[in-house]
Amino acid sequence: MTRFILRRLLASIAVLLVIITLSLWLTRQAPSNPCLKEREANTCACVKDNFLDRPVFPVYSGQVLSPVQNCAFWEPESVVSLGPVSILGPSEWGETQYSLYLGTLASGSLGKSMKTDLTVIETLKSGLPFTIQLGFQALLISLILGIPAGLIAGLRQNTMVDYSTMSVAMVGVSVPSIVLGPLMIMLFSLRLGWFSAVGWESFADSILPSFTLGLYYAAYVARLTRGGMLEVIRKDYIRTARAKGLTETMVVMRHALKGALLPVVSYLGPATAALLTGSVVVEEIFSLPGIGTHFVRSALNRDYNLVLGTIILYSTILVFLNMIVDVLYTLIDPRVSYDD
Amino acid sequence: MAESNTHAELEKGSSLWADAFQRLRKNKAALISGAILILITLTALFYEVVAQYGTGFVMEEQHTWVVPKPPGARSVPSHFFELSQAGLLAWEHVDANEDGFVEPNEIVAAYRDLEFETIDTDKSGALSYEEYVDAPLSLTSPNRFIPDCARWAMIKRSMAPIEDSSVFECDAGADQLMQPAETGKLVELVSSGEAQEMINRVDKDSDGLISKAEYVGLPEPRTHILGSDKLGRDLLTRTVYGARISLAVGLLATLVSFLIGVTWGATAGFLRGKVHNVMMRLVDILYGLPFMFLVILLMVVFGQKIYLLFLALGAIQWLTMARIVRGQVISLKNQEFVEAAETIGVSNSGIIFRHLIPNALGPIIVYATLTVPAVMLEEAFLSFLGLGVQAPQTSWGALISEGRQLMETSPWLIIWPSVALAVTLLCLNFLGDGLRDALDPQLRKD
Repeated sequence: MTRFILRRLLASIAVLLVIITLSLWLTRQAPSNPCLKEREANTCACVKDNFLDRPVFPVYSGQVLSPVQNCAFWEPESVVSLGPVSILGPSEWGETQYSLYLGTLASGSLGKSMKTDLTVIETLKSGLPFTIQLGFQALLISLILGIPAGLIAGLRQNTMVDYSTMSVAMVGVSVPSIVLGPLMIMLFSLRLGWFSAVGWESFADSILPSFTLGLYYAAYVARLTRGGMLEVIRKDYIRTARAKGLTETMVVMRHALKGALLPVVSYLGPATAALLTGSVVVEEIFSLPGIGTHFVRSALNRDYNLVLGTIILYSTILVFLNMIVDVLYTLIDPRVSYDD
Repeated sequence: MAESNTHAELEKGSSLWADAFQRLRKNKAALISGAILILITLTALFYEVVAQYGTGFVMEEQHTWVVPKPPGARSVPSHFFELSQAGLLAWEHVDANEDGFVEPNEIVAAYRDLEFETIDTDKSGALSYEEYVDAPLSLTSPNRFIPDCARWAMIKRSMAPIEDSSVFECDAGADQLMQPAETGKLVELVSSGEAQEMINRVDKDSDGLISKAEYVGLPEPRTHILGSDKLGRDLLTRTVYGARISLAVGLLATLVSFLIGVTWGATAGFLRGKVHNVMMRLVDILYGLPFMFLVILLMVVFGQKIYLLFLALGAIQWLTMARIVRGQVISLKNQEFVEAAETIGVSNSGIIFRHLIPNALGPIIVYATLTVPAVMLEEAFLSFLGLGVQAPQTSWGALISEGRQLMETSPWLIIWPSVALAVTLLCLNFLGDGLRDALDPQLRKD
């Protein structure tokens, strides 16, 4: 078991490293950069301050790096030309953006926002509580609504209860949050005046966003639970349990439930990923100050450090949640072995 | 003779696909969904024909108006139109000052009279409050903005009327009837700019006026069935054009994911051993990544190009497909027909693409059908955030995002694109479920 967890841990760190490399490389491929919108006088200073005057990786081909016109930072002497390709001299290899960024990460920082005076960690810290509360409440809603609905539908298969629950669930998985959110605002905020339409001041303000985010997953969880229940309820061990004379409640709660919830448990990993992604949209709909809002704004502003910081934060959460779900899965279902 | 006939019939049997079709035909929800989807696709493909004979507006067409028009309001189309010389559009009426030429302001006035006549349902020559409220041109005001009489007199030349009794009383005066002269913007169908364009279309001698010889009539106003947006663009038209983009993204991105997923899964399943382990472990690792963020990054970095959208959305959806295909291929691989193919010397790629994939097609098709709504949803999210398709192109997500800005005063702008998106997703999901039940009865959860 320890070996299994250790191996997953190492794999997770490798995945994170790949993500960091990929996103760093992607942001640096952009035709635009955060310094282009600055005033001309500050541009070169901005480029230098943010280490944009260095290539991402040691080997660099093409012309001398000048991310902004009239600011050529690499002196031609340090570039070894090999026909159409030029390679930086070995003495310059140390100071690439990649090594600088990894060094920043290793020192426990995510760097400074390129557009504001805050550090990336400060910015993310201000948004994280909202996003986590939103995601957690949505997950809770989806489980509290979805599991009982799925169980009832599965137990009363092919009855009116089953059909009506599953029809509602079908509508639930088909109405996206960008439709549901504005509709809820129109109904509950503008018509009935029960909640405020935007912002996040008190717990009441979190109700509409949580439902907007959570109802889709509630519907999905209901479908999964029903499917799991139908599969389990015909198994021999359930017949044995009934034959023993257990009450139907006992059969369902003690024996069937565990098996029926397996698909739900394995869905929790992807669901968390989807909840985090979905929260970007929901935060936008309700103008919440969460991480998703920061991410979209920083991506549009080309605030590279904030973009990278957000992606690293999300990836870390997701990769480790997936790991926990895998471990959890082996605990619930002994048939899954630790070593693949 | 008769006996051998019966024998042949018995042996014929029915293929997997015929069986599946029989089962699908019994599934009412899937059939209705399929019919609706075909209808939506056909409308999206052949909208120009529909526009010419029915709705009348095309995509880029703008009609000067300061606020969105509600459903039922009218505009004068500038692309597909029918000229009319009847009634108020006859030469004698349009040339009001009888100088033998039609000027832009005369066209504006003619359309004002036409619209007034339409709103004035009892033909009394003046508007009562009921007629004023029922007119599709009036704007329901959010409660916080009802101008007083003095303020309204100042702003009414630039603004659409507000459906409020105080505004009506202000315009109508003591007699509680609104005379044609008091209606202001309420009955204005065309701006002087649009009127000038109409003149330019028929003006042969380039004097900026229409003489009696040149006059062929004026275009008939047409109804915005779903209303218009704040630039006066027809919402139905924009929703249909949005359908083109949304459906195209859904289908093409699914195709991309289909190609990657099937190739990857089939190769991994067929080769087994180390290669298989590496390939499938990669899929496992990729499964937990926040792909949407990488797509957002990609769209920001490389600009919102539509083919990039297809590729990026398809490239993040192939993982499940690869897993399904791998499972199918592994179970099919040990069967006799593959051995037979190997024996007669068919190459590996030949076995994969000619023998294994066609036999695994059922589950693949089912999953592809369910990928389409997932991709469309992601495209809608991106466009909603302003990171998907760019103006002047539009998609349902972009329309919903636009409609959200004005949902207090103009709810139709968000409702109709939302309905289009939700109904399409619902139909695709029903159809996908139906296909799954039909093609793979063992998978059916009942």
